[in-house]
Amino acid sequence: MAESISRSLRDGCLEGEHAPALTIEDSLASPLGSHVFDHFLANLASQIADGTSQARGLVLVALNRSPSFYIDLLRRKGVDASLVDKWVRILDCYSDPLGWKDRIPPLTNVQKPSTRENVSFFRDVRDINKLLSSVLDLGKGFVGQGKTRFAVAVDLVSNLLRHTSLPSVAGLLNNLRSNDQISCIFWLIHSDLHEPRVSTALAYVSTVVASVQPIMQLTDEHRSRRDFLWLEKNSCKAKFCVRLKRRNGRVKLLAEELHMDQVGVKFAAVTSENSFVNKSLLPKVQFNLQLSNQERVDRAKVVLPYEHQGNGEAIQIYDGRRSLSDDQKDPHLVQPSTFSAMTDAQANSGNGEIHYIRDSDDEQPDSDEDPDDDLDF
Amino acid sequence: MGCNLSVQRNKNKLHFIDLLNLEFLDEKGENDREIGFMDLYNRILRSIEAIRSKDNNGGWTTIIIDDLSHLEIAAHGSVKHVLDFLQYCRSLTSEMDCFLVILNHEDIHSSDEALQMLSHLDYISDILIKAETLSTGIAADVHGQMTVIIKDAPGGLIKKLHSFQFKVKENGVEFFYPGSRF
Repeated sequence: MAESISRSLRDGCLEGEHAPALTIEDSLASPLGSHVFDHFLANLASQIADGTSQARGLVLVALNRSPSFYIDLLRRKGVDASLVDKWVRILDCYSDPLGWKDRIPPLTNVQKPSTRENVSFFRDVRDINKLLSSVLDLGKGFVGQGKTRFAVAVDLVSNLLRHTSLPSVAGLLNNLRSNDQISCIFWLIHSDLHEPRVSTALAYVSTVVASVQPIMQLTDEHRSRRDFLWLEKNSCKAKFCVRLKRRNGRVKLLAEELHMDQVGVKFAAVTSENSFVNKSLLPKVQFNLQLSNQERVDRAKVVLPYEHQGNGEAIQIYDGRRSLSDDQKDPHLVQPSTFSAMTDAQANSGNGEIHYIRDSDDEQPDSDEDPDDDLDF
Repeated sequence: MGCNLSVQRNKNKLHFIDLLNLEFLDEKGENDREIGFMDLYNRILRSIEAIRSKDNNGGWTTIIIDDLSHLEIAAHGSVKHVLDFLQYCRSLTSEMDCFLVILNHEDIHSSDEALQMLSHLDYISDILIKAETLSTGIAADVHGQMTVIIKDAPGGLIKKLHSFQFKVKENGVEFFYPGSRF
């Protein structure tokens, strides 16, 4: 499923439709959203470098981590450094988001960190229109004006929301999505830093919402016992719930498990430790709740009344009052006496077995029993 | 505690920035608060510059904020301005090889403010140390308990998680594992 998200980011959009937009949301209870963001970022960057994606470049709006972190990250993930310089542009909104560094006297003795060619500074995150045009300019700078498209990644929308209103941020993301030069866009948000309406509003402007949720909930018992097992578990494992809006308008809900190790995140099908626990908690019963294969075959062989048999043999219409001698011709039907003898034998041998016979065969053909004697008028 | 800060100060190893005398404490306007925090950031930068000019061996500098709630008071309760200031301090950790140590109090915020400030600090920190009263009640030999969470990166995998108890002494604090002191 994480692969299908990567594929949809790689494939981009068709002519005339909005670019696919992915929201990654996490919370302090399961704070692995930034690693998920890194995973999709590195995947997309390597696909762009290989030339397999629709996007021919990537503009990364860095609000939460420094550009050098991202350059290191892509290098660690195996993306060629020269290709990163060529196909990835970083808009640095992290180092000086409010332009303070321009307004104070420069440092004289301290050596400034060297800036790379593919990193541009942005010094006023409160101006959303300027931010939009900076992203588009950066993208156009390396893909040109033609029909080539580029991808956009915003590393933390929560930081942007601190400086501007929700409508402006939603407007920015929507404008980027609907721009005909953008192939795909994805962003990260810490949902617990905002009111629920913020996540909902962003979910409306996205095609895929990937929510990182805790695998283990914090309970009062954990709190009172100062049990940190939940914290350790949630820091290395999470539920990865995805809501996917498809082109035909249908919404698909999917879930995977996300494992964290020293290299990065890995996605796996829900193997379900929980279902294993549930299984082991089931009371051990002395009888089977399900049929074995042999029992299923036996059940299928029972000739039912009025059943269309049509297998080449003579069709038997069950009259409900056949004589026992007739019944014996049917290999699957057993006389009650034989049946009871057999069940006794089976019971003695200790192996349970189920035999299927018709109800009406319990009754003797010449029985005087009135079938309606239990009716109470 | 056995550490003579005056000597360190004379050696230009330690710089104090006395916030109580800062002018922006009395200001009320939105822009004035921002300018106040910008000036404070500038003073931190100048201190780093002064330390680096004397001892130019490229070592790390630690910025200690004691405590963050006073900055909130200075900003007339504007969490947004404090977080903007922290963002700039945080950028020094990657740009100028600085460590950032912040002291804050958990129980002074209303629930909405706590959501903003404490959660934000939790997201950006590599190490989280939480000191609180003993969960089992008051004891003579144990004054409180402390949890140390060391992450591999902010908001990442927990590398180590320790739980200690502590006793405050006249010249320091003694830490020990729960149940190890009988």
